[in-house]
Amino acid sequence: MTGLTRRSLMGRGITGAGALALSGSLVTAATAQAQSDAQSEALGRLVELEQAAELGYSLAAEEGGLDAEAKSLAEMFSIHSGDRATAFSEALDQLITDAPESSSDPADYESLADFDPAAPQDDLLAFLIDLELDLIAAYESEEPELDDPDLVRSAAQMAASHAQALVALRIAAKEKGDLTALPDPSTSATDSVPTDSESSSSDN
Amino acid sequence: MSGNAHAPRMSRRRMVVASGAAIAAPSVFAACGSAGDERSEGDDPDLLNAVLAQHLAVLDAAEAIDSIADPGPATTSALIAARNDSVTQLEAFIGERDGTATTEAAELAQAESPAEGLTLQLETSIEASLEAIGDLSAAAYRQSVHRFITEDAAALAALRSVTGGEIAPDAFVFGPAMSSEASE
Repeated sequence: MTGLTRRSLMGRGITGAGALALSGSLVTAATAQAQSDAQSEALGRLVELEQAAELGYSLAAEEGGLDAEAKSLAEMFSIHSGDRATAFSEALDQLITDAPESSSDPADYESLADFDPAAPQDDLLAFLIDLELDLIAAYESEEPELDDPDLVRSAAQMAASHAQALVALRIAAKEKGDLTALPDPSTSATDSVPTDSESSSSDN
Repeated sequence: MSGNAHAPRMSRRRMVVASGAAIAAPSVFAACGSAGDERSEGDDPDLLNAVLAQHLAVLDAAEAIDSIADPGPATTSALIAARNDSVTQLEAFIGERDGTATTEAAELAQAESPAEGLTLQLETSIEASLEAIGDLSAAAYRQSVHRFITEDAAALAALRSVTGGEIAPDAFVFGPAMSSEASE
């Protein structure tokens, strides 16, 4: 979530209190600009999380004492996260916004805090399961910031892939019970039915 | 003046076109910017009903598997609970838009076993939901359908772990296998 601080988005558009004094058409433009900025910021945060996941899985595969099955999963999920980071980075490029720089140091990523790639397999899988849960929650919470239909679809496709990775990791960890349990959506807007005014003001 | 004010937005949106990213995610970004400005609340009932019909079919398929030979009892019961919730939620959304919620499930895919039938139905549900989600006018609707897609994908993965398919094969989940293969 630190990607925001690395970008100075405010300089690119008309946002904030200044828009209140503008004509209606400019306010409309400013609203669109703000939505676009919010979308870019959301994409940036997701790219950073995917970059962290790519690194985490890569280090787990290289340095962790994983058995063959778990190592194979880590290698594959590192590639998947890299593909997703690339896809949304390309989208940011097209939105004329710099994508976050990737790093090879886990300390640069908040989501990899306390990550120990050399930890025993059980601990490593537990960490990676939590990482996937956080990614699924992040996609769900960022989804309302995405306006473009194709980006909305892409985010859903990516979150769905993370849900499947979560199941695979739980199986590798020999977890029992419901393998499909997802993060609690209670903190999201999932349960709220929007009014027409909410829809017309914040959507489309 | 307003034309100038709008120009940056339009030009930026139009720049979101197929690129290197589309190589990694073929369905991604190809038509970015084309439909976002055309969303209509009036389209929501049909879009939501398309998802609802799939969820009713998932319920039918899951209940069939539950009563015959359940390969993953906890997963199937969780899926049934989730789809009962989503059906209620979708009906509420459709009512919010003054639409009429369908009571008819989508036609179930032909399958050799209940497990295969549920697998195919989940894939079809994901595909239909992906088709609808981008065009829904309200962020809350899109967020809910996003959640439903994630739930379907997790259930699909758990089912594959029992039936022998690859659990998490792709960085981007599509619908039925044919869609995924065609994109590669």
